[in-house]
Amino acid sequence: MRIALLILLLGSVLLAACDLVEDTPFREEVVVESYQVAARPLQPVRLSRTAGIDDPYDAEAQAIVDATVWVHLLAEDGGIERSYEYVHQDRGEYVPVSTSSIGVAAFVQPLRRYRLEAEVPGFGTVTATTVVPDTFRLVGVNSTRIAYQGPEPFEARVTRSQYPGRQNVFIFVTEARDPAIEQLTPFWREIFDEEENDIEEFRRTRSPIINEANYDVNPDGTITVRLPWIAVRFYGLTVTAINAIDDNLYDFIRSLDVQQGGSTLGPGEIPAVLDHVENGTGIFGSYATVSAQIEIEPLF
Amino acid sequence: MKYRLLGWMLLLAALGGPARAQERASVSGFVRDATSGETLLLANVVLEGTTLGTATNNAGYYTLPNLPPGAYTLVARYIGYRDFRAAISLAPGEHLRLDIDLVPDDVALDEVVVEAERDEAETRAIGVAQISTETVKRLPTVLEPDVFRSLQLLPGVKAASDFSSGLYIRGGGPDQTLILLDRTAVYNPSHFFGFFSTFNPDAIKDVRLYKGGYPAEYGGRLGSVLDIYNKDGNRRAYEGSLSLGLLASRALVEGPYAKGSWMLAVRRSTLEPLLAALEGQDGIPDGFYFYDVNGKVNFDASDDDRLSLAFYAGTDDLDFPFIDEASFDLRYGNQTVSANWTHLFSQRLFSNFTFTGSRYFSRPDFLFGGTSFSRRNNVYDVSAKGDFEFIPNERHSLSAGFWTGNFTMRLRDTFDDQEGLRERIQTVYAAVYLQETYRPSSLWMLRAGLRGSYYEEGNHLRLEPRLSVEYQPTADVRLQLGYGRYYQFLTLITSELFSAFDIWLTTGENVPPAYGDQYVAGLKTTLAPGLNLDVEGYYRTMRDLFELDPFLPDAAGLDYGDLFHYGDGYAFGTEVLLQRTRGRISGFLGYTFGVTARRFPNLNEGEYYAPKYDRTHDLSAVANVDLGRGWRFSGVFQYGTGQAYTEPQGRWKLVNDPFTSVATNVLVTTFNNRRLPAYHRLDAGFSRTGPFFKLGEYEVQLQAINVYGRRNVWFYFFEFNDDGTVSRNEVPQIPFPLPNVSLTLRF
Repeated sequence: MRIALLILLLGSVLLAACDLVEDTPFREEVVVESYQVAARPLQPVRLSRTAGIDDPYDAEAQAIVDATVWVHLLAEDGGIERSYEYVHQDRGEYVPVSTSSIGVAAFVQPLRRYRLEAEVPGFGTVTATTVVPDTFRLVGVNSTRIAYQGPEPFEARVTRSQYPGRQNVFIFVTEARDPAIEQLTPFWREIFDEEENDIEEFRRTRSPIINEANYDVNPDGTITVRLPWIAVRFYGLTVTAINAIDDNLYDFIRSLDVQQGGSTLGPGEIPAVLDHVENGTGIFGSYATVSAQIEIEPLF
Repeated sequence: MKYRLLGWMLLLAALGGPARAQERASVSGFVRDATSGETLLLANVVLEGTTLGTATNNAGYYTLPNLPPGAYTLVARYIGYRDFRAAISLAPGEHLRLDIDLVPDDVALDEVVVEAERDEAETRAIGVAQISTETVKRLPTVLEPDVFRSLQLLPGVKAASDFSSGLYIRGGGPDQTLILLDRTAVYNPSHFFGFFSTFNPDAIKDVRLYKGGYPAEYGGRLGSVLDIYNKDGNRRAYEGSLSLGLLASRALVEGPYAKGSWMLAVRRSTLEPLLAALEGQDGIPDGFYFYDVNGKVNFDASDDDRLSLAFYAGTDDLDFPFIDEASFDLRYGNQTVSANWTHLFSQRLFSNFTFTGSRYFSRPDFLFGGTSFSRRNNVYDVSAKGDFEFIPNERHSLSAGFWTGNFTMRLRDTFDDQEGLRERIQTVYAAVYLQETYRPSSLWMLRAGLRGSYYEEGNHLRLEPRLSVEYQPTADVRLQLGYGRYYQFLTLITSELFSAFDIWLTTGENVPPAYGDQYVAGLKTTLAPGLNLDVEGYYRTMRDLFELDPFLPDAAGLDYGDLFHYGDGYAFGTEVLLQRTRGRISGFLGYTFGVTARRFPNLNEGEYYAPKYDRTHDLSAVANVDLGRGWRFSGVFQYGTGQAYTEPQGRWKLVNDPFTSVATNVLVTTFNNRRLPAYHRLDAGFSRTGPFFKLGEYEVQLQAINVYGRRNVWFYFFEFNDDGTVSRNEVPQIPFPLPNVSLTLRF
């Protein structure tokens, strides 16, 4: 009996070495940030470095200014159809070289594949690829003057975008033209802390990701999307954008939302964001967008 | 190979005893509480001085078949009761019906030491743990005595936090435990958002936990089974009790009638005066209550036929407008009903038929700034089950049964009054099992079973072999081995924070059932009368786990299979339990070494990780001391390795985010890469029992939870500061000594 217990004790000590909880040291990585917009000119690419959790973050200090950056338009077979060279402009932000000479070709083509390639001294080559969503059009809106929480929320009729292999997914963005504390809608007025918050932080906000299947398809093939009231932070002139996002943004935003809480993971369990950046992290995404300007008025 | 062995055993059973049985005698009957007539489950019945013995089954029935005619001393034992002894004489061919009434005794007398019998065969079977309702009521508790909180003290059973009554058993999550109340599945047995379980300890007769390697008569879960039986009601006299607590009050009435007994237990929260006093203050809901009702009626139709009808209903209701234009309303609960018929075809053939109905509902409604979100989840489970137990002789015991039903799950989400998700799954399920227990000698016991499960949704048909072997080289030592394959057709979407939003989902056409194998080895010893030492080791696999994808932002328009992410896992560990069951000082010391791991594609880069409830070391010490003159002390000390959590290693920032006007901060993390500080807590309490104006008896309990104010960490959250730093904020579990007072009157 004693021997059995001794074996058990020793066995337990040995098995303790099986603990999967293992801390890995922080390793600095390149961060990519770029949002390409369908049918718009190529957008900037920003490069920076991650910082250790105990180090104060200074965006300027983390910027990478000496990289060589290209964005390639890929052919169907994956080969490079066209390349666009980028040049460093300011604090880690790279812009396409001489956009005037590129002309029409500098516009991001919907449903095409683009690849970012950045040679970063000390880090090697960082790459990421996006498939750009198809463009869509705003066919009409129900009204440009909307009573907050009135009987008729803002609705927009849009043509349907396309994305290979899945339904469209949207995020709504509202941006107040003239944000002011006294213009905050009641819910956001409760949230706003004058000592903690800057009103500019509330100017532009986005909804969570919303699948196209939430909306009815009209007989003419368009869909009518409805702005949720939670996205309305201010009374007054507001630009409402409807964005169809690519897979990279979809994964990034949904995982970022989980990082910030609210999923089925246990409290204190924080997953890494889902990026699609090779040899680095960040977001190289694309989206198609339409927008409308509306006036939000108090109900009474 | 396993199936061949099973076949041989079943053949042996069929060919076994009947040839000699005609010459032999037998004795059988029910074992009951002498004061209330309640049947006692897993009571031991042995013939003194022989190797013959058995235990009562789930109906409190025992059979000792195929006995040589002669004179015996029959002894019946049950923890908390005085031993029963009777001299019996059996003539050739006699079938003696002997119903036994055991007299309760708070301090069991050491008057009989039964040696060499096969007693405690079931209570100390592999993977089995039992806890008495008296223990549940005596242990120091937060606000309410709770079955689940008490079970969490057993080795191999863990709690996620001070605020969660969920059972994490041998590395499995709460959905891997089948919870049965009077043979009826209960799907979300929690009150107060998961703080404690719905089972009213006043109403409960028996709590049995199969931590692993459970036998073929059960199925449907990967890990374990919790089998709870409500009281039948007092068959001898009318009784009642009233308990007043800080959170809720309870009442129980029970009594006999001409052909049986009845029982009704009610519990309701009593927070309304407190809420009224705090009305208008931040964080105080407009209304909150919960209640549960348990009832049972028994009809003793004849000596061989007993019928019962039992029901349970419980609901939690919260109305919480927490700021202007933001509110949260929630209503959730369970209802069960079961009709049971126990029939003795003969002394050797016992049967039980049950018809069950179970409903779970959860209806949260959120309103934020004029945008609503609502969820409606309903589970309906209607089933019929039958169990047969045939004992041809002392060597063989054959069990068989079926369980079939109709399971319906409905889930509907709306966002901003638009329906985003509507799922309805209605499926027939069925299971049959056959199990043989073979005792070739007093030293060996082999149990082999095979369960076949069918689930119509997805057309899944699975076979589940079960096997266990027990060798008893001496009267005080048992060596046990067990193996089993288990399938699970359901998955629970739960948050450790609030179980009120729990959702059950099922397998489907493209969603195969999860399955796993369990290997268990045990060493059970009796160091001295009433002093047991049990050691069990286990290893289990979990494959094809399907859980709601935690990264899923919106389920609208997705195929059912796309709602899930799929993964696997494993767990292994060793449990040690030193238990004293007799004397003025009783209790146990439990230790668990355990490892559990999961692997899902989008977490930890697809590598195995330790889930939050993984605890390497876990220690519980429970003591009940009878101080005399009606005074009693109860104490519980718990220690556990800190749970896994994610400590970010780095961060970065998006400064050009076109969708928001603030820079977006992102954490660089390795999933669950650190452990919280070790958990420990001491709870203690005193109780005093005495006469209450000659009308009955009172009991006053004074308890303190977290006596020395240990600030155990529940979790950390991380905040980005304006100066570019990240601060770690601690959310504690119960951080200070918490008193608890209750008064119970028994009539």
